[in-house]
Amino acid sequence: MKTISKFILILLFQIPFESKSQIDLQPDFVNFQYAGNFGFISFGGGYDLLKPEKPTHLNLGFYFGYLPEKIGGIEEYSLNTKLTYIPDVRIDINDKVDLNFFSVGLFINYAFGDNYFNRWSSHYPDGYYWWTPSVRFGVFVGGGLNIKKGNSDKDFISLYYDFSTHDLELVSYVQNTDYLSPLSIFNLSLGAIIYLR
Amino acid sequence: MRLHYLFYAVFSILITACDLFEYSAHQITPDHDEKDVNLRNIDKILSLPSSDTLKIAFISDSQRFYDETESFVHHFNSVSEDFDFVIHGGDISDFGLAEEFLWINDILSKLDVPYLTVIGNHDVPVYGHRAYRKIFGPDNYSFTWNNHHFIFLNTNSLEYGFNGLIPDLEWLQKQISERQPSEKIILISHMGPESGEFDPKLAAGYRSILNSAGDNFLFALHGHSHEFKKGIYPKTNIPYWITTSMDDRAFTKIRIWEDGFDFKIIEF
Repeated sequence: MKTISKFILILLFQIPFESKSQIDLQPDFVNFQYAGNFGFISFGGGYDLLKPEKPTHLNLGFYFGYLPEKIGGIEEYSLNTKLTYIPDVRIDINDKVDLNFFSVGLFINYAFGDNYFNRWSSHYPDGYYWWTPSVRFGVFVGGGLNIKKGNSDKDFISLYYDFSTHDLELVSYVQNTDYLSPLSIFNLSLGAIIYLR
Repeated sequence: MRLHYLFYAVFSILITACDLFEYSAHQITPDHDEKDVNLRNIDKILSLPSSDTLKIAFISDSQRFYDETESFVHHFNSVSEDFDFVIHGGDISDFGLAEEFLWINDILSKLDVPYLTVIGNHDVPVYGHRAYRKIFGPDNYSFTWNNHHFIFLNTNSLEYGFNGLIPDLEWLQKQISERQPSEKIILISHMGPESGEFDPKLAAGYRSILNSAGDNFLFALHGHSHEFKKGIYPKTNIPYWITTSMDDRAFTKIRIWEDGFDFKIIEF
């Protein structure tokens, strides 16, 4: 909860000062991700809600994900939205590469396939199940390695890792802190962002 | 060249470390020893020495009660010599996720004796039915041990939209009619025919099939209600016993001997 409230504070205070003045539909970056509830592999693009040329990013990424049955036991397609805050807390490795230790964010995962439904069947009494099978909400913390463009300070490629969990795992955890540990509900994902500006 | 090998080594470790990565909340990726748990445990039960009195621990509804289920295992293992095996009455999980089945299997596999499960309504939604079958085995199954025939039946009709096929009465009929005259019968299902989620079109047929076994049918066991309850199905002589959920920190000790049986509530 602490990270969420911090995140909301950051959103409230940074957007009005740094948001872009015009609406521009060309994406600021393309992105790829392995695992993290988005399928086996997912890809797409998105926008930096701050200025992409600055080292502090607030990335809104859209990912189309696919999980083959061979790997996941089920076949699944998904649409995913991910909001990542990457503060400018970095260590230079050399002129071209730096490391950001911390990033934090939220995601929404909408999965579709044979067995997904947005609404429980009308056979069920109202409120029989409180959760929606096709939509998962999640949070994550992570970090990454940033490669610069030419001689500039601008990020060109970010290779990131996240530890993420979703709503159903979180409610399982809060009730069972003896058996479950954060390690049992947080899972690793790996990804890349290529900035286009 | 060496770097090449290192890359493959790291990559294959990452890929095989299933627990490290999650592709979907609904993924079904049990390890090799986390498949067909019920069938493996039946094999263990069949190799137990036979005895005059059968002693079974009956638990149910572990849905999102992992800490309590773990306490049960600790308690049980201190008195495990009083029991042959454990039966779980369904609602193993809360959301029908394979991950939840695997957590409960991780806890219950530490029991000193084998355990068996029956599928509950919470174990069915979305891909739950498929995950149950992969991890535990068929949702309708049976075995005979010590001249007692144990029938595990999926009765979660509402989850299948009251399609008239759950419970599978044809399969149940076969289970009853193929018995030897001396065999006693025990049925385990998550919910009984009095439940609103049991297909009302099939309730009468279910009762009359069980009734047809006469005195050979000992009793039915259920969960679902999150309370202890005993009774007799209406218009029959069939006794049933309902055990409570794990958060009540209690279970039932069942003893069956030559000409009788009893149920005892044990708190932990």
